[in-house]
Amino acid sequence: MSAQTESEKNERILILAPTGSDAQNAAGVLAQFGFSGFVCQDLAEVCEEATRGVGAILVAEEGFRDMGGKLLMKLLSEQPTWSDIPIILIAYGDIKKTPQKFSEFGETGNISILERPFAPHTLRSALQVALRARRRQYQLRDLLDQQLRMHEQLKVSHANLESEVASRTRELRLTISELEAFSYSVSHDLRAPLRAIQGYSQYLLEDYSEKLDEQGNLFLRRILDSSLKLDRLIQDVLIYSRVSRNGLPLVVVNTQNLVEDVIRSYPEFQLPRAKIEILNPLPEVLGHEGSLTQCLSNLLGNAVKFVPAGAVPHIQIWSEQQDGSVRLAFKDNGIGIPADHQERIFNIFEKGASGAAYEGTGIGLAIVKKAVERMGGRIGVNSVPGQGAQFWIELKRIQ
Amino acid sequence: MNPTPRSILLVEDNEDDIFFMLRSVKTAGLPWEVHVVKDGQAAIDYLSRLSPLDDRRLPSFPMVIFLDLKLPRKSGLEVLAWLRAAPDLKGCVAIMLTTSAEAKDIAAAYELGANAYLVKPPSVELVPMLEALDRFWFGYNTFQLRK
Repeated sequence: MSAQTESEKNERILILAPTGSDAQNAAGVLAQFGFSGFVCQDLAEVCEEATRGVGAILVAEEGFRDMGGKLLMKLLSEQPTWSDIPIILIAYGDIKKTPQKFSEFGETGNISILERPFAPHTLRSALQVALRARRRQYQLRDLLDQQLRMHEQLKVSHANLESEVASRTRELRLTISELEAFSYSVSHDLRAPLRAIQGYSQYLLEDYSEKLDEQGNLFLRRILDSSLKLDRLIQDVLIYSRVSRNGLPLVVVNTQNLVEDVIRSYPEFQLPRAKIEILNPLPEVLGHEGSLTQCLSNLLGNAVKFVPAGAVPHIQIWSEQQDGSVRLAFKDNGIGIPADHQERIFNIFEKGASGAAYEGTGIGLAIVKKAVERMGGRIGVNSVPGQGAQFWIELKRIQ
Repeated sequence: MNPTPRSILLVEDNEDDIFFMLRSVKTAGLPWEVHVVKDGQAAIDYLSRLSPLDDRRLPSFPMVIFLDLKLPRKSGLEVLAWLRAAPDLKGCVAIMLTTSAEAKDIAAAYELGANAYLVKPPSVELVPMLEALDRFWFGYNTFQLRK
């Protein structure tokens, strides 16, 4: 019997009939019907065997003598939620008294009473019903187990995911701070020798110009020009990286004042060098003042720069209210941008088709685009070559 | 006219920048008396010697201090913190002069009480910058009178 598998044990009918050879006889009858009977000596053994697997318990009334009833009740009350062991009680004598005798089991016991004498087939069908119900209970147990295992697995993978995310975040933070340190070091260390090149070539020009021939002077001026250009390039890259990584807390910004300030700060934005008009009052927006100032000076800087030779830049600025946003438009009388360049000019290091003829690092519009996007806005351009360009930025409106 | 001499302390470790400053002061024809120290500790040592009791021995007390950020021994910010804690030196104008335009450096400098924050310009723009500084600090500005 010890070689029984778990599923075989789950089909067992535990038999308790202490009187004479009743138990053996019952086991014989069950075997004939194809049931697997297991004879127990007392209720203690029934309870112990039940924990190893049970299909149903068949117990004769006299098996409840002494403390047996309490043991069985303990077994029943300690069942897991899925379990409800079917018990068939074989009663004899005064059947009317039997229900009271077992009333202590109350509603917890799944007890059917079979009164003697009964036909063998009555027992057979009762046991079939009991086993069928018990099989369902075991199926339920397996399902619950499966669910529990899945839940555990889910918990483990969730925890793994969390720790994975945490460690990736740590790595990213480290990378970002390394990049910040790198850009800081570029700003400080790379520019120092460059400034020396600038300074000494300038002084060489100032002090020794007459000792050099025309070509020597030309070379020196080229060195100076290039070092100034490289310095602007480094500074623009640094501005771009700053705009890309720094948090831009958004506050209420008065764009009218900001545009006027920017125009006042640069002589090239003022008459007679350029004519800049503000056509309607510019509203307040949600933005980051420093970044927005950078955007305005870059956009106006481009507008006054990219004009046909000899033309005086004429720029018109106006605002348009839109759903949830404000559009600021900047229309110029410059050389314009061909359709196939209108996307590319916002990329870093990208210059327009005529860019080579004009001074610049090719970073200005990339800075504007990045800054506008970091402020939750958009940028775009409409242009026909030869007819100027109209750049626009959309920023968050004050609700 | 401000009667005090236009005395300047330049705290700068880069020999090139020192040369450019001194040359630009000369080119601009500014009546500046520039004392140069090349690290933060040297700046503190120099300023510590200028106590109110014995400053009469010294020909010139720095009215304006140019401070680089990255310096050997003690950083420009450490010098600035020391300066603002020194009771006798409250009237000194501290101007940061650095290549860094980092927001956190700028914020830290003002937090510690810098009077101005200048990003080192290309040398071609140094002369006009110094002329403007001279016009503002020694022209329009009024210094605290020393006891």
